[in-house]
Amino acid sequence: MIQSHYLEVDGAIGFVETCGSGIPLLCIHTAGQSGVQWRQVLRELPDLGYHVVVPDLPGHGRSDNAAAGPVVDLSEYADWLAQLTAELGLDRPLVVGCSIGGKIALDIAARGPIRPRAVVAMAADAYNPQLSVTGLQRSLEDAAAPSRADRTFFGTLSSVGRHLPQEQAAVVAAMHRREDPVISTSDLIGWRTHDLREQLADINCPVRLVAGGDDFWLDPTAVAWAASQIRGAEFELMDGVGHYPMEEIPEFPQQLHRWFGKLLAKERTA
Amino acid sequence: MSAPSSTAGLFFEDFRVGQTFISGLRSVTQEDLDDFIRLSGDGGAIHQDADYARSMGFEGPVVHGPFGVAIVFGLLFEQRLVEPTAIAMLDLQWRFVGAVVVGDRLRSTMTITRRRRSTSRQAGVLGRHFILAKEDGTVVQEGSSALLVQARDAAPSVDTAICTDFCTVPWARALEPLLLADARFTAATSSYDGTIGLSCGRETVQLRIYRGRILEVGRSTPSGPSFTLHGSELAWTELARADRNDFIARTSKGAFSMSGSAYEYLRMNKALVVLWDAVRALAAQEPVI
Repeated sequence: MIQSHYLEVDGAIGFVETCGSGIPLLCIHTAGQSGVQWRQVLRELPDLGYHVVVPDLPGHGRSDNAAAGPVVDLSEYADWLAQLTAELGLDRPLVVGCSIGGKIALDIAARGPIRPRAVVAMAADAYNPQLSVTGLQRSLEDAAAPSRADRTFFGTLSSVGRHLPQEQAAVVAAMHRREDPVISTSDLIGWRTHDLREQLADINCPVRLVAGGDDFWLDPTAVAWAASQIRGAEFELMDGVGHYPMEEIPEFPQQLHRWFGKLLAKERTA
Repeated sequence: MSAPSSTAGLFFEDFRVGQTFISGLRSVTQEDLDDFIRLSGDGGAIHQDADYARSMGFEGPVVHGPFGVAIVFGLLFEQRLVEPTAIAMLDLQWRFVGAVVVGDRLRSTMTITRRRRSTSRQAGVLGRHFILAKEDGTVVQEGSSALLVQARDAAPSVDTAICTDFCTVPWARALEPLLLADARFTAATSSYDGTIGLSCGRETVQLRIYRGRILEVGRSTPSGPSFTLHGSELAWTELARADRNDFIARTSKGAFSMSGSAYEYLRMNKALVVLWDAVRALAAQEPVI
């Protein structure tokens, strides 16, 4: 049964859904989105032996806005998640994240009290200098960002992989159109400015980095480089997949289960 | 897209925008470098002095850039694609991206990017984009060059080559009914009063739009474009023939750019995505060979 929790984190409501009993697994969503991205995982992974935990980051979904305003520093999300997992009493969960969620997962692996057993970071790497911070800051002003809904919709259609049928791609794109532009843009500033290159060497849990071959947000060589800086990390480039593997790959829960199976086997060997 | 099975002496009608032709490998020898110094008279230190070349960050003496240009056309001749149908090379635009040194093995890839009938003789012009790359795929030179080539037949009454003659007035006139038939285009431009410029290589066309209607198509309009979308012939060709319309992804990666009013461009983003659907549909009307 899926349970909803309205926890108090940092003096505000932190919303989280949990389901199943077994190995705790924390799932972190992408910029501007919410735990809704993990709806398939949340329903199916409990049967494979997981206690699935899907939070909405501050300002997203059903969580309150952060008291200090929209978050532009991904490490604040990592710290918030540390409080949330402590509140839930999770002991060394597995962590999977996508896009900013993937980067937050790497941050969590490199530092802080969560000490994950293993991490799958999707559509993420350590350093993303391609975006313009000035441009993002300008587009926080509503008048400077015309046709935001159209651009979000068509931009998302362009960022999912070619293997996803068109109707499903349109669903993903429409879900992104629901976003609060101020929150999404702030998340992207966080994505742009959070530089993890120096911290990768501090990661000592098994890690798998997964990138989609059709993901224009990432340079696959940069993801491969990030993997090379993490002890024993695996890297996989998935053909025909874009920026949202958990919403694109057929039978994603089974795929994620296989990935974590391999990572946990590595943990045992070590 | 692959080349036609018979590649001997192709005529204008045998080409299609988007076709690619990949050459064999050509090794670059010390003899080549010596010969080119003699031939061109360019005996600069960077080409002859190994220590100097290394101190400038190269692996060894650098083979002249124009040598790369020369072998692109040698490799093309080796494929006998336009032998003896080629008439004249019309222009050359080239970028030198990386150094070539003795010992490199190079390959040329040619993509057809434009096709236009000659109005004065039984011939046509082919836009061609070239990539010269090392065996491992590293690009060393890139450029374009148009070729005048014989046509097998006289110009037909309906010229399908205009379907991919991007950003010319005849092409835009052929595009117009496709745009107006798409309710998404008229909806996206229903609050628009302005002119959209489209530019492909050296060709530019403007669409004067008012409330979902196209008032005028031409090389110029009274007030000029509120913004212009720019792309190379290769960028237009690749998206016209891609298996999906990922215009926004390609724009993010720099294949297309804009000039003029950034805000009108952002406002017309949906109109541009829909316009690209029409560009691709029109390009698909060019008969498959």
